[in-house]
Amino acid sequence: MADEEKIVVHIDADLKELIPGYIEKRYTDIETIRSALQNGEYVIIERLGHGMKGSGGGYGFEKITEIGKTIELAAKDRNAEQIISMLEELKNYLDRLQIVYE
Amino acid sequence: MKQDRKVEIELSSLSFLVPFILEVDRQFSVVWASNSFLRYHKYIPGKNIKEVLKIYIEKKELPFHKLPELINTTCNVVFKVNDKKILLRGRWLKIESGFLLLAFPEVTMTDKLADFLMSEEEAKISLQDAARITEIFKKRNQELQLTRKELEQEISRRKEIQESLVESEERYRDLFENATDLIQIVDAEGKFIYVNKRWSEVLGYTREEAKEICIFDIIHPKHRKHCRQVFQRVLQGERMDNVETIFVSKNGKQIFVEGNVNARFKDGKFYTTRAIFHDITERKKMEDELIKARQQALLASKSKSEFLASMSHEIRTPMNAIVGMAELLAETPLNDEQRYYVQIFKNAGENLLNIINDILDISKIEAGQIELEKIEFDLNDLLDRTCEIMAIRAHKKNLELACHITPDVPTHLIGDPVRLRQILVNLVGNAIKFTEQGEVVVEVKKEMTEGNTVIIKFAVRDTGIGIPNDTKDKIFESFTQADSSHTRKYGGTGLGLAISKQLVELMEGRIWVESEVNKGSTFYFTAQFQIAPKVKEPEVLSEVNLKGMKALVVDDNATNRLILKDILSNWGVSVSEAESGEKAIASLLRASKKSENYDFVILDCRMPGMGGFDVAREIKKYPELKTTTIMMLTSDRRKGDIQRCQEMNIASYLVKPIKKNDLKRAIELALGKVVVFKTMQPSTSASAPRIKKSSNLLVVEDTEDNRFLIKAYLKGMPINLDFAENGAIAVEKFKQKSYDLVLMDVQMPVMDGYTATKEIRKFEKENGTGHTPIIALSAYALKEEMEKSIKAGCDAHLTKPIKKKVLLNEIAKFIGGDKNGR
Repeated sequence: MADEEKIVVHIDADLKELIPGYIEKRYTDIETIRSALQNGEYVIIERLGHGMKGSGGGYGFEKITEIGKTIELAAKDRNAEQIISMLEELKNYLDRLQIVYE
Repeated sequence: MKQDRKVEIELSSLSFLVPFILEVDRQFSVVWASNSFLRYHKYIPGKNIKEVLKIYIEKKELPFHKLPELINTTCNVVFKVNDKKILLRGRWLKIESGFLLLAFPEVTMTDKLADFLMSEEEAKISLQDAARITEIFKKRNQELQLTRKELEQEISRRKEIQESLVESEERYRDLFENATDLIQIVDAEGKFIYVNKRWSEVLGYTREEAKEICIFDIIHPKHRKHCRQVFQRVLQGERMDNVETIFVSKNGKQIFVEGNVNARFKDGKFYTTRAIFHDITERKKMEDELIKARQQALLASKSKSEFLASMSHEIRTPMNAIVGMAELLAETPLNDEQRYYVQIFKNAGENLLNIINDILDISKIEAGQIELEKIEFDLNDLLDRTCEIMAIRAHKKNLELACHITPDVPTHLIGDPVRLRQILVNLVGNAIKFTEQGEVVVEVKKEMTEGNTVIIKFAVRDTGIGIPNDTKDKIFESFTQADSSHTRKYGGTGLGLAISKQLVELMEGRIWVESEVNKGSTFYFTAQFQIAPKVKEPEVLSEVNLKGMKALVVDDNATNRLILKDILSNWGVSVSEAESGEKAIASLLRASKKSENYDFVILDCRMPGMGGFDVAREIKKYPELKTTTIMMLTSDRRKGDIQRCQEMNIASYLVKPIKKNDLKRAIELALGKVVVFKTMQPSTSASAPRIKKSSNLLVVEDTEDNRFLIKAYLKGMPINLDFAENGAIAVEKFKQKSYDLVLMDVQMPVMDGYTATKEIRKFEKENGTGHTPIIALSAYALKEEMEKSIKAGCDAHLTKPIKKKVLLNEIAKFIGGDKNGR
């Protein structure tokens, strides 16, 4: 199935030590955003989205920047539905990530 | 005794016994006569009664034609038999077939009573007579009854009609009276016979007053003549619809009305005119306002298009200097660092130019200012050139760019090659932009041909990230991308597809996309072209040696002349300059006299006084200047310019800013010796920049992820890193330690980057510590953001997410080491 295919991302070897932590934090973000969503704390979501947007591409994860951007905008719009769908997309992406350091 | 008694009977009662009855038809011929008549005149049936009877009324004889008037009136009748006259008294009755006389003898003393008495036999006959009479009357009675019934029916019918007439009249009167239109009935002289309530309200005349004036009194003086004509035509029976005129009310107010007028005739004679008018004053007002608004809109649109044209010119002129100078600078001996700066400067110039072009294009499209050219071009050539340039971009990303055109596609076409190229560059550019690995393929097929019109279908296929279904339609809208997450990552104005869509529609085609996320997208568009009548033989390509050629550069702008002169001189062309059209002509003629004709002239299209086209026209007048090739250069591609060039046999048409390669190619084309394309090599990426040793760097960044990232990027560099989590901490740290460079995130809690930068600049000023470079980092690539950070005191602006190379290069600019890598 397409969903199970790995997504190969090439990352600067200099960042090797940072990557596992970075990815772990994104999983944490997913949970934080989920609970913030339940409490209607969109400011938190917006900040986390902004953070992903600003960092993802720097590490080599363009997709995370993209998702972060959408989450930030969706939080501004109070668009819970889109946030949830982005979280799913993010989780799917993280799950399928296969990193090649070079 | 018996005899006596008989004598004693009253004569009048006796007379009852001998009735004289006569039935005549309408022509007064006797149809039947009772026995009493027959006794005297056996042949009376068949005779006209005029021969045997005379009628008297009060002793006055009456002619027979007046008989109908005598019906039911008692009259005297004289019956003549031979010489004998018998006086009768009775009545004429009307029966169906004619008339019936019912009379009795007036017995006088001279008459022989016996003559009037009936014998038994006569009595019998008399009875038969009576039976006949009865029958006649019975029949008549029946007829009468029938007639009466009919009459009664007729009466009730008329009554009904009358009632409904009354009702209908009331209804109409009510309608007329309460109509919201103005209704007037006017006689042949134009006097008002009737006006309705509304009429009276609108015109301000009471009904009594209305009867005193005439129709022409309420018509606006300037319409009176016309209205008289209309009135005349109505009098002749013509119905006038949609008559528009102006009424003037009693207090002088103008009322615009529209309606119909028709005449009513009675017994073929003119009776009245009836007119129904509708008050259209409001509508007129609105119409006037609309007309005014339209004129204003036209004016606005005109000034908008003028504004666009001049903006376009104003922007392109300095851009020309920027791009041109960058190209020239790149040619000079430069060290690596300088070369790198120039490259950035050049790229930025080109990017800016693209953005400006996009914005100007979309503005022009929205203002309806774009019209397509209709010029001959070669599709093969256009595709080759486009792909050749796009291939550079593709190869930079290790992508394959292929182009395939099926053999049945006519390639010599009439259309707008510049705009077609723009669409292709856009789609191919997007494909390259959104594809990380794989290929971009351009396919060109014939959709259909009809006469000399061909519809061509283009497909640009990539193996990129694809487009989700829900955004497929939106991507063709203006500014769409600007709001999506793609902008920050991929850049661009987001106008490209909107422009392409509009251009495709101008080419009577359509554009659409098929895509699968993560598999790739295929953009399709169709466009309609004319097939050019004759296929030119492709010119033999050979490289032109420009060395030793003579050229004249005509431009009012000194920078432009400098750029052109420098570029051309580098190719070994000997260049002269002229700053106006007049001077150019003089210079050309002077050279011609010495038999040293210029090989080509580059003319700026828009110059004060004599413009490029004027100069070209002038040059064409001199046969001695025939050998000089003319090239046109403009800062604004205007509709019709290319066509004008073709008509005037101007060899080429170039749009500023001038790119060296384009210019070379244009000259070579213009001189009729076309070129072998040289593949441009992408500039070799700058090697890892050198950084001054032991630099102190302050990184102000609230996000841990980014702090880590920067730390990782700078690992191994001879840099001491300090971190601050917000602006306030940064300012404190800055005050305590001397830094060579600050990386400043702009969006942070507690104190943002702008404020922190301002604080730092203030501190520097107060303490005279000199200027420490600050590089702003923000997630926004907007021009305003950049301006804002520069305004706050930053020296540069980087957009997040930060790429290693970009960051290192930027840092190197400010704290770079010298060439020796000291």
